[in-house]
Amino acid sequence: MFWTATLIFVTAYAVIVSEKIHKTKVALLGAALTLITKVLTQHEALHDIDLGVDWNVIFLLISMMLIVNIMTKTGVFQYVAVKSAKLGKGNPFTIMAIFAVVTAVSSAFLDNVTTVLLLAPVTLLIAEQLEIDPVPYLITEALASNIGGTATLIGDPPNIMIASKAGFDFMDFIVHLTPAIIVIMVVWMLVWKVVFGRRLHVKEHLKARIMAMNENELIKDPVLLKKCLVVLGLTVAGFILHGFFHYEPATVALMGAATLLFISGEEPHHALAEVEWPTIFFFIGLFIIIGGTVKVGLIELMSQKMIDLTAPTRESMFTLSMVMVWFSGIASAIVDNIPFVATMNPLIIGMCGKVFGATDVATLQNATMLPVWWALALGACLGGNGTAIGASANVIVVGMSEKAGHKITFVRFLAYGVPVMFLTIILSTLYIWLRYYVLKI
Amino acid sequence: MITRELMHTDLTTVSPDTPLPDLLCTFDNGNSRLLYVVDTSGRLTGVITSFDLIKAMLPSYLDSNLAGAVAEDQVITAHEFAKLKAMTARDIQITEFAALKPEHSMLKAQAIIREKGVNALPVVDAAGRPVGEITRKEVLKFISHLCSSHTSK
Repeated sequence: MFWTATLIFVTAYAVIVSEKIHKTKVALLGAALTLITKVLTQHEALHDIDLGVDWNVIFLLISMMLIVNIMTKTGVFQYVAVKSAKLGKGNPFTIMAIFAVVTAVSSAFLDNVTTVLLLAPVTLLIAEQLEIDPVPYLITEALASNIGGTATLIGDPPNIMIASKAGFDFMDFIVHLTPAIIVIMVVWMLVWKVVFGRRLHVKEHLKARIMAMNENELIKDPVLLKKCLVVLGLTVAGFILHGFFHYEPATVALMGAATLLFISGEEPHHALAEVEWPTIFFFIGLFIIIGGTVKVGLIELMSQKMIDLTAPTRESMFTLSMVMVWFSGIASAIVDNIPFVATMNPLIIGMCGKVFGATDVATLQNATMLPVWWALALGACLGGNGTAIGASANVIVVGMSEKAGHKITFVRFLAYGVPVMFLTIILSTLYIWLRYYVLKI
Repeated sequence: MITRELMHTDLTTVSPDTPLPDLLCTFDNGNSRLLYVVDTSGRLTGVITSFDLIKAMLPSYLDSNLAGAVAEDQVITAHEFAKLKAMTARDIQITEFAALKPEHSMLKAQAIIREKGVNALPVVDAAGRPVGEITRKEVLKFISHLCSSHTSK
């Protein structure tokens, strides 16, 4: 069984990385093989909390996708983008910085792909009106969506997975990751000001075109927008308070999605059809494959190796935390961060069990373990900025830009992505070191 | 009734190298619903519809909602035209299209129009050369004629 599970895991991982076959097909076939070879029983795959599908992640993703799909129809994102450009008074760098902040904040609450899908068309239009190259703007948005998504529990799938496995609530992410992301955004924008501040210039009459745009035309359904904002506000409040009321994040999101579906008048088959089912089934397949490797002891073996290499103790996991930021960051620039975190989660839990002799929530969240989890989250989410294929938002932006006649080569993306990736990983390393090992707060 | 008896034969043909500005003028002046892109031997390599030209002239990112916010809409069209001036019929043509043979029935024409949702269908001979065109209007005329003759009986 050990070798069967290992073979399925390694082969599936290799094929997913190669991108020759759609990752959902690979994950589902791997899951089916895990079950048919009886590495995992179907009961374990569907019902076992440690080995099976993490339904908390699945329902949180589906529910948030439903809320966003309905909200998209209101035109509010396009409205905010045009309003932002007008706030920037047509000044190209100010617009770039405002768009980066809007993207980051949106991505903290919505998924990154949706955010760039909604903002990129407006960006292309604004660049067209200002007669400037849209590529720096589009890449900045992709990078900002990956950075902003790191700030909250619901911002990026790796965070959802980490929260579910380690039992973190929404406020844990706000307290531990949001400050890091605020610092990263400020430093990054200062660096960007030096890089782009003097390079971006437009004539005054072109700025007037931006000021003449009518953003009010963009709100398609004001009544639906009000309903969406109320439900989204209550859902975010629910996320903030879910730890207090002892609800899982998926319960809060499901309540929001069901309420919005009920009051919006949207047909369920339309709203459900737009859920990204390939992503959902990718997760389901992946959980089953990883569950197989946990059951046969492969993950335990790997966590022992991790202990041998980084020597974590009950008092300090400094080396492990530092290695984790960089290893996760570089790995996530090359491979999809979802399978990466799906593998690292049980590995860290296994390591915790070996060091502390327990894997309950209190032990997983003790002061020694905390920096390891946050190092994983920061590395996995921010590492995606490195390459054009490092994160889904990057792939979407490159595709949209090319379709609009502005090809972004792999190398051109690297020229933006790699420096930002290193900047953010260095800042994350400093943050972890300073907060958890120097200031110890 | 078969296609040959109903099709019209006033077709506008262009070469694959015809530039976009010429395509726009040709479309404006021609009588056929489609532009027929033919190679040097007269074989049909693709068709261009008015939809294809409108689509080519609009930036890919611009939807109807976003277009509503633009104040100077002519600027967008002028920019797009400047960018696409070098484009030719080869870049715009649809190479996978439904076509009829002159001996095909009107019922077949009607079924293809329903399946594909197209406004007009090219009619090609055995050598693949365009010989005529059937439009929705012609099919409807035929149906109307058929129905009225049944009613009078």
